[in-house]
Amino acid sequence: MFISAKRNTIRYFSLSVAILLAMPFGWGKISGFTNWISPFIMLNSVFALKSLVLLNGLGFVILIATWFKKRFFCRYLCPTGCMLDRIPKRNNLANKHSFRNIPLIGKLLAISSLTGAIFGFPLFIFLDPVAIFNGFFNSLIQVSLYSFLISGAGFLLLLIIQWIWPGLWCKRICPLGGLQLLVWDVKSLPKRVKPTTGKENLGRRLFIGSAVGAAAAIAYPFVVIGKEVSIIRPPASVTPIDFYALCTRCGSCLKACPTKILKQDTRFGAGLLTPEVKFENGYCLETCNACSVVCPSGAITLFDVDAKSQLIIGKATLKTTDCLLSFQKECDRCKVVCAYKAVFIKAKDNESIVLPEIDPVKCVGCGACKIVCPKNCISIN
Amino acid sequence: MKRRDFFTKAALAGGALALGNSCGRKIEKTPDILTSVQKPGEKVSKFITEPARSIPVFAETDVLVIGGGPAGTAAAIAASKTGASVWLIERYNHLGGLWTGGEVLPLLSTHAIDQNHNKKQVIYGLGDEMWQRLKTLGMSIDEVNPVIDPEAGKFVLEQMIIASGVKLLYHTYAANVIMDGNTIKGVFIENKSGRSVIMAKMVIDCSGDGDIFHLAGEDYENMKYHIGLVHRLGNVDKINPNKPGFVKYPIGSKTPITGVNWVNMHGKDDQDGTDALNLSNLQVEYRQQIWKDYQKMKQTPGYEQLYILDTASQLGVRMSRIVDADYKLTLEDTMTYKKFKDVIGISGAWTPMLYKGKKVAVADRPLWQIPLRSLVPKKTEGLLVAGRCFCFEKELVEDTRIIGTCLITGHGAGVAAGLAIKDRQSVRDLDLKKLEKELLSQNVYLG
Ligand SMILES: Cc1cc2nc3c(=O)[nH]c(=O)nc-3n(C[C@H](O)[C@H](O)[C@H](O)COP(=O)(O)OP(=O)(O)OC[C@H]3O[C@@H](n4cnc5c(N)ncnc54)[C@H](O)[C@@H]3O)c2cc1C
Ligand code: SF4
Ligand code: SF4
Ligand code: SF4
Repeated sequence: MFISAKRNTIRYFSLSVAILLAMPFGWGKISGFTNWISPFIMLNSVFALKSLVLLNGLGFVILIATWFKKRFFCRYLCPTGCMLDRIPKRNNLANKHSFRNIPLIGKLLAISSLTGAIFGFPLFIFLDPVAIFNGFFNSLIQVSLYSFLISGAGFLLLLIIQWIWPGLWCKRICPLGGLQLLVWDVKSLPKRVKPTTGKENLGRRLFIGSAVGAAAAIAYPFVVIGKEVSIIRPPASVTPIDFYALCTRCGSCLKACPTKILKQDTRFGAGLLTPEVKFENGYCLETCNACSVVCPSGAITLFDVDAKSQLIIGKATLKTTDCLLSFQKECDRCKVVCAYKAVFIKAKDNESIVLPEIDPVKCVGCGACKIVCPKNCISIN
Repeated sequence: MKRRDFFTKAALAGGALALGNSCGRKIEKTPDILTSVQKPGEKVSKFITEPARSIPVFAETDVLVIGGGPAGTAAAIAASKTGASVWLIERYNHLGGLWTGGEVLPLLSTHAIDQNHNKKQVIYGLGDEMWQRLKTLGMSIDEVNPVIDPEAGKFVLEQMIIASGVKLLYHTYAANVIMDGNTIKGVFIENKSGRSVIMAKMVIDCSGDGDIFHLAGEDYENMKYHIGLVHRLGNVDKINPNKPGFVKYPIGSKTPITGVNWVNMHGKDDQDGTDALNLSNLQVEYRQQIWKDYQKMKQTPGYEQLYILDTASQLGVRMSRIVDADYKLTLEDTMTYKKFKDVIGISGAWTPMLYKGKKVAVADRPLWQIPLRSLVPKKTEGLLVAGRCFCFEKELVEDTRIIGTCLITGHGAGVAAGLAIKDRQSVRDLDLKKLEKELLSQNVYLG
């Protein structure tokens, strides 16, 4: 395939920017920013949530661009495509595969995902190539080989596919590619006075795709319900079931979190690679909304820092058997660190021993008291 | 085909609809419904004008230290060591303040982590000398954050004051300040002899509650914190847990004297430590409570021989006024090995803290420098503040109010006051080289 020098410059530039912003360098609120330019994530998110954030405009602009230039995104912007093109072709295989007899799975994925989204469950948002690309960089901050492999699995799989069947992903499977083709198809609709065989498939494809999407979306909750593992999600996350479907697994929230309390769930199941709050050494800062700003799909709903006292992450529970105060030692750490004034230290039943108590209404489960307690008296559920 | 077309269109229309109907998505704060109920403040409505009268000058001195707690005792001795004449006045009958009279026996924050991540003793100078003397008497246990015997503490601190040549006046209350413009010239005192005056070139406020800077018109914050009353139990070694009917009660912590425990009390939160009526009420309530608990214990099998040795003679006011000084020490300073040109000492850590959303365990907590500027109140000339009321961010309170830190700020203030007088300078203009030299010669650890 011939690619002009100018186009190549743009592609490599986009790739470099994407790599830079995907690296876990502590970019804060611009971590994984390139997720916002994917029209596939944008449409899935907007259809599923029936609402917008300002940055969705970016994806929209790109979507419009694909109307004027076929596969505009693939041609200029896609970091995954650019990377895959760099995989050395095995000589003996060169150009052998044109995959003409393989259906355009990407279009089906796109249409069923978007129909699913309208019903609340964007089924294949996690197959977005930009999300897969961004997700890969989380493997760099993993501690064990297992979690490294799991975190990077999506992208590694694409690389393997590319090595075995060069071009298969981009040409046939990628739902973002499929979406762009759909846009092109719709654009060329009026021109097709007489549908020819092979091309008249648009209607059928849309039909099958949306039927599958709708059916799957309706069945989805029944499949997942009951299988959820109890997980603590970042503040302002959508409901547990919606989260499975909406989260792109791009890992931007993990990179953005200043206190590094977000970890990837590496257990196999519906929640694989979704963010989980683990209060080991940090807590959810009362002054932070980074994860909600970077989340490109709205799985973590954008929120105002002022609203934090109303966003429940979990609830703290306290076991006072080991509490320093029950041994008449000097301590008030849990009370002092609670930004929501949910901890009270007071006497029980008219005795002089005072013990901390947590007001379940005020507590948002930020984890501050849990991590500071020198006696590990507190847990968040 | 018709039906399929319909679906096609429906899908597209659905998408368009979703877009068209979309609204902005952002969670914003909804206003709180709860409004705080305010108690009507009790206001004094009646006033009487005190007739003007001549007050005898009881003494004239270089340095006057108000309050004989850990900070005041260290300040007085340190100033005296620079060659200044020093008076120390104390409202009660002992030195050591809350450490001894308040029966708060552990000298905390003696250690912290240095930049090479080694655990290091940081409390040296007069604080260390007190500690070593108590150890020699067998009246200090534990090598880190030692627990002392209060009576031995009073004795040792008094001995050191006598040896240093500081003039000590017990049973005397600092009642008001004498100001000339914004310069403090002396302090009105009240005692059995009546009202009199001590004139001084430098005054060091070590009253714990900042009585002097309050009277001098400084800005400050009155921090409401928990107030308790410590007491000691005797015969704790004679408690017999094997008696049938025995119940385990908390009985406090060890002291250097076998069979004697000190029992800390957290007490009620959010108390005003500068409201006399409140202090008096708390005192009564707490002592009654201690006796009630004790009587319940004593009736329990196994506790027959237990007795209350004493309740502390000073009510445990942990915090009250925090002065507004030239520099407010910050949490960041204490977490980042911040270096100050005008460092007067280094203190340690004893409790975990949160910094930038993360936990810093005691074993990882850095030692931290204290600058002289945090002891120099903004408005008044000739006044220094040491002890639990110097200038710091509230997040730091657990480390700044602690006995180790009070000993360090006291020591630094004493040296600075002495040098200022020697060089006839304002403390703000002190030669920092000289300050450092004098502190080092008095064995203060500066890193
Ligand atoms: C219950 C409790 C538990 C604590 N636990 C610990 C602990 O385990 N370890 C630790 O290191 N610290 C502990 N602290 C803190 C520590 O004991 C005090 O903060 C520290 O002693 C303060 O020293 P200071 O010299 O600043 O003031 P203080 O010790 O309060 O001394 C002030 C002195 O000034 C006198 N004074 C006050 N006003 C006047 C006046 N107007 N005129 C004349 N004299 C006056 C007072 O009588 C007193 O002797 C605890 C405190 C409390 C209350
Ligand atoms: S809001 Fe909480 S969980 Fe989200 S990035 Fe900030 S600290 Fe991390
Ligand atoms: S988790 Fe602890 S610190 Fe956080 S809001 Fe709840 S009680 Fe407060
Ligand atoms: S921080 Fe832990 S030990 Fe301290 S008062 Fe709270 S629960 Fe008790």
